[in-house]
Amino acid sequence: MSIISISGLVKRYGKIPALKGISFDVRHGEIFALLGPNGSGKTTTLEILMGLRSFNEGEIRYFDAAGQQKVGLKIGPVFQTPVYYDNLTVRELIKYYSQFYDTPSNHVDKYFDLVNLLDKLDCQYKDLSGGQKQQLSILLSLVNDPDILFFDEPSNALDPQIRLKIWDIIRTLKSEGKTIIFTTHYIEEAEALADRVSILSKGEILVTDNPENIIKLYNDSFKVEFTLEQPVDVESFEQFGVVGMSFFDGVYSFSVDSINGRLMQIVKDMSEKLSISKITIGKSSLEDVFVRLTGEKAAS
Amino acid sequence: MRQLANFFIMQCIIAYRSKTALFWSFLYPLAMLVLMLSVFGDAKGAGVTGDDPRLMTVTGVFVITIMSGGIFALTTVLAADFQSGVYKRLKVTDLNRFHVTIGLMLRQLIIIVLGIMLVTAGAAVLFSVYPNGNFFSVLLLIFIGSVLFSSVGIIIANLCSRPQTAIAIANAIFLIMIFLSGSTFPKTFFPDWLAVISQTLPASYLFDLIESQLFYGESLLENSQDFLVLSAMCLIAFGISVKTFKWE
Ligand SMILES: Nc1ncnc2c1ncn2[C@@H]1O[C@H](COP(=O)(O)OP(=O)(O)OP(=O)(O)O)[C@@H](O)[C@H]1O
Ligand SMILES: [Mg+2]
Repeated sequence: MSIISISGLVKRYGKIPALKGISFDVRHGEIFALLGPNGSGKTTTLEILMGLRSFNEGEIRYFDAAGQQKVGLKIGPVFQTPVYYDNLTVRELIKYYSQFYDTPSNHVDKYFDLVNLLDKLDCQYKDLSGGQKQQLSILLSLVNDPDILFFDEPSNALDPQIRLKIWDIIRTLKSEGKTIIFTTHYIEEAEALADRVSILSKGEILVTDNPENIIKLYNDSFKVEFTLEQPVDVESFEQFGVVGMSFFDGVYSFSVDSINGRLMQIVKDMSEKLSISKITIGKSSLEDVFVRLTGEKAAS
Repeated sequence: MRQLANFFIMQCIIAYRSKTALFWSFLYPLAMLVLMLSVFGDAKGAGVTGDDPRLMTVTGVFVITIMSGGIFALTTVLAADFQSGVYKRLKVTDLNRFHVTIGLMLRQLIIIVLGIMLVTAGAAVLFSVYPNGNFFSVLLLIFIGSVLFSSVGIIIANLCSRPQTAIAIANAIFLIMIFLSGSTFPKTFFPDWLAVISQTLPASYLFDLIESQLFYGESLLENSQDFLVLSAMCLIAFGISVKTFKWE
């Protein structure tokens, strides 16, 4: 059952199209990821869904749990950049932001245990660390007991430990029945966290499905990676019968459907002519699909 | 009402903790008072029908206090907050543009009234200058002036997409108004064409009306036409500031 249904959404900044007619549905109670490289339109999409930006074409519909169409939803936002008054304390931010809704609430109490802020209550926002700020942003997105949470790159620029903590919080929120849409350019984040993923590239959605299906559908195969002591042109691998060789960060890679005699022959031929220093064969990940689909290497 | 009250209180805390806000609201007017009274303080006996001529200088400092507390304080802070997304976050709460604009204006009103109390006390204690006029009429004029110039400050922030532009425009408007309203130089020095321009400025109406209180000790009724014009300007500016409020 959908909570939001988006169809044919087009957004132009001046003449430049940022979204070129995207469509997807988000279901009640799921964690939905918008995965895409920088500038692909993640923030634009999220802020349109929150009602903060206008759009040029398309339709967005909201539904309640019973499937009835609604005018809007109660939303909980986490923005990509810090958006709180610097010189208010954690306690004050919680207190005042809870009061800015028509029905005041103390839902925060319910979620306070999720975050590590107890000893920071009287600390001003500007004195919090990046991880603490992000946890506070999440806490503040919950003050109105929202139907749906919009998290724009919630773990960006955080160290791995804090990132795992944020993942934990998101999973707990899901287990409490919240619907969460988040954006990320970290593939492993989408893979680890999301029930379903849309891969967004240059304003277009390339695929929407659960991570396992995406991997299966687009790359039910293996990946061969190796490095060379003397780098050569990627085209020159055609002599070995390899097409679609890619080269990034010193590593050559290509995909094959199965590990068979032909692959072994290719590896043998290559190692006779080139000085291969290290070679691995592994199962494809979402990252490989992402790279293949978007033609870009994402940060990981 | 609850939302407005909470937004207003939150804004007061923010202003109280901001060193620049405190400087512009209190130290700057007091410094202007001391400076201007030291420069113009000797012009004793030049008064025509009014009282102590130094009260014209005090009137000027009142107007400067109201304008800097309205235009400056709001433009700089709002433009920066629009840029960083603070109001984008507030927009997805149930706060509306009335809560936000009125909350900000009320805060500035409190700051301006405190600033003017400080200036009045400074004038009395340091220079033994005591204003005439009806307390409530003066308070009413301060209220109208501060809503008017706070609206102007909000409008500037609304219309500029970059903080630097907003601050430059606020500066220009502020300077033009304090020179042409008579707040720093008596308007009698102005050539005719400048006097005509001067007479259209909101700051001139505010200056003349406060002067009629502090210096001449007249009632508002005697200046009802000016008073109506100023009130109308205030209402229009308030309307525009709410209407154009853009959240980011
Ligand atoms: N306010 C704006 N005015 C003009 N162009 C914009 C504006 N906001 C975004 N864009 C453009 O729209 C495109 C999509 O931007 P958006 O911020 O949605 O991308 P994103 O996927 O969130 O990127 P990132 O990962 O860097 O946050 C970009 O090309 C960007 O330059
Ligand atoms: Mg973004």
